[in-house]
Amino acid sequence: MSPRSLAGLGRALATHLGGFVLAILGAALLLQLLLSLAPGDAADLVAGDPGLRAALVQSWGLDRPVWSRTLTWLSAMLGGDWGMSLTTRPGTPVAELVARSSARSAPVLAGSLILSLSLSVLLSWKRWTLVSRGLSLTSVLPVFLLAAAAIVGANEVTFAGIQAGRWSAPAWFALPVVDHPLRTALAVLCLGLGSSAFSEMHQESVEALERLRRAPFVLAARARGASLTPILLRNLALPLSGLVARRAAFFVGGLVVIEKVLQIQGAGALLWQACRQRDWPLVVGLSLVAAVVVAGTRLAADLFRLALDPRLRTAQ
Amino acid sequence: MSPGVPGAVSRLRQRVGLALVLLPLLLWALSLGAGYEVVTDVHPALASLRPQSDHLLGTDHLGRDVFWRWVTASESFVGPGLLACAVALLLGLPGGAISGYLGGPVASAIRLAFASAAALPRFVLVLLACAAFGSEVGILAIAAGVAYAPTLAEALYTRLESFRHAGFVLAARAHGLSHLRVLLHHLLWVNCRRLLLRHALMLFAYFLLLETTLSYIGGLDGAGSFGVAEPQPSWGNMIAFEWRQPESNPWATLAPALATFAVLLGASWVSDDLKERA
Repeated sequence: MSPRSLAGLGRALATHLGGFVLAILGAALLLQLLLSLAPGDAADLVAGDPGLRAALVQSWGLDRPVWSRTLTWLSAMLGGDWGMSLTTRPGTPVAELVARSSARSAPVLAGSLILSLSLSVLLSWKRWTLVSRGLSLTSVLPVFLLAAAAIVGANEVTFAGIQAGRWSAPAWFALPVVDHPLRTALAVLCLGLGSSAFSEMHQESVEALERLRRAPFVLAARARGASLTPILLRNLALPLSGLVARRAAFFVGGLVVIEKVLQIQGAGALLWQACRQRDWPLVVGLSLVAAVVVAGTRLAADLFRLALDPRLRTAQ
Repeated sequence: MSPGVPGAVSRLRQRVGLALVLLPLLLWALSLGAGYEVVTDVHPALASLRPQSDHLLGTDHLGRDVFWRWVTASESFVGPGLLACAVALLLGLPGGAISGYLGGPVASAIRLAFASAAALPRFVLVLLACAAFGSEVGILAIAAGVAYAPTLAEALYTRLESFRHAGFVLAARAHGLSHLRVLLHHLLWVNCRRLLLRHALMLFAYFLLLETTLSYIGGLDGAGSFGVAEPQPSWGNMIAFEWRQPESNPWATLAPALATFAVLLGASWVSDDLKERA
């Protein structure tokens, strides 16, 4: 590798990693800012006794400016001290709650992202217009409506079958109370399709593919009789990774909705509960993890593109 | 929805979409004019009636008129949705316009500030705002506007960036027009108004989605949760309220569900059309 491209690679890596760190810092600062702007502070919610209140204010650093609080708190988090949950699960370490709930959310998040992406690439590749129109139309439905309709539909049909004596109650019956793989599959499907997740991704992949098919280098490859599939796939990976990076935040936010509607005890449902009960340490821990996931996906997509596209590595 | 749709279909879709997007405004005007009493309209004796002449969409399981609740629900998102658009424009327009027109380190700083805010998902940001400040629709609207501002600013930046050294900008400057005039008229008005309109429309649709979602989950969650709370109607809490009632009037859930779908669909059609013409 020449010194010039090495310098370019170094600069690109530094930019992306710096962007990641800044995004996390920005999110942390925003979180602290939001909490400091909230009427009353965290100590008001816990302590009735003025002596205890003063002690809490000092130990949580509520008397210091926001930026200094953010830094102390971030460094504590880096050291593994995420604090304790105050009201949701009093006394349980936040880190433990976040880890446990995130483990339940991860399959839904990854599954819906992969489903949405692969379905939109497949349909734009095959040009099954009717199927993709139908799915795009369904995709306009909000996630909660899609999930609610699926629950009622599945339950009604199954219940009618049970009453008619055609089958006995299946293991997942009745949705969404039982923790069953089918419920997770339904969550993946609804989050991957609903609230325009699929239609927007499909539209962008159709546009990317059309641009590619019209590109001069593809025409040249066709004229030479080369097989187009590997060329198209390799070049499609670039816009698609950018698309995933841009859409990641949407899916992370959607987790809250789908987990509440389908009663999955994941990070999203926990965040909702923590917000309702103003459990700030837990709220902040979960939100920061959400920001890390979003910024991390962006970083991964950037690095992937850097590995794939030599133009991004040359110094300018 | 997909490129390459024939002209006539695309025109029809644009018109139908526009009608669907304007429907909430019509309902809002109707609701403000009619002054339906949400609190006192409870008649258990008339519960779960099917559509009939004096109850166009029937009644829900408390005997409340579904049609008027459906109309009144527009108050929960039309006004606040417009407020959200105003907030997003107020923040995103100067940010995007200045960074896009000036470029250089100023642009980098502004874009960095917006990008770092964008690491938190919008829905999470809105939820946090609700937890911190309460979940009145006004707060929801401001939070949604703030959360959308980075998207708007980035879109505007990308558009203006491509025009910064364009011939017509240089020509206008050479004619002695001020920076402000070039930016406001030649760039923002002539070249970005459809883009801005499209983003305002997308934010309006997003706000409807956000409000119905929060009100639905809040409705299932019970008192003291987020979203528009009973007895004030919202298309989201109307669905949550009637969903699992035995022998309920199907229109009490279908009407709000279909309306939500129709407005979102209309917004996506119109915004596709604006995208093609922008």
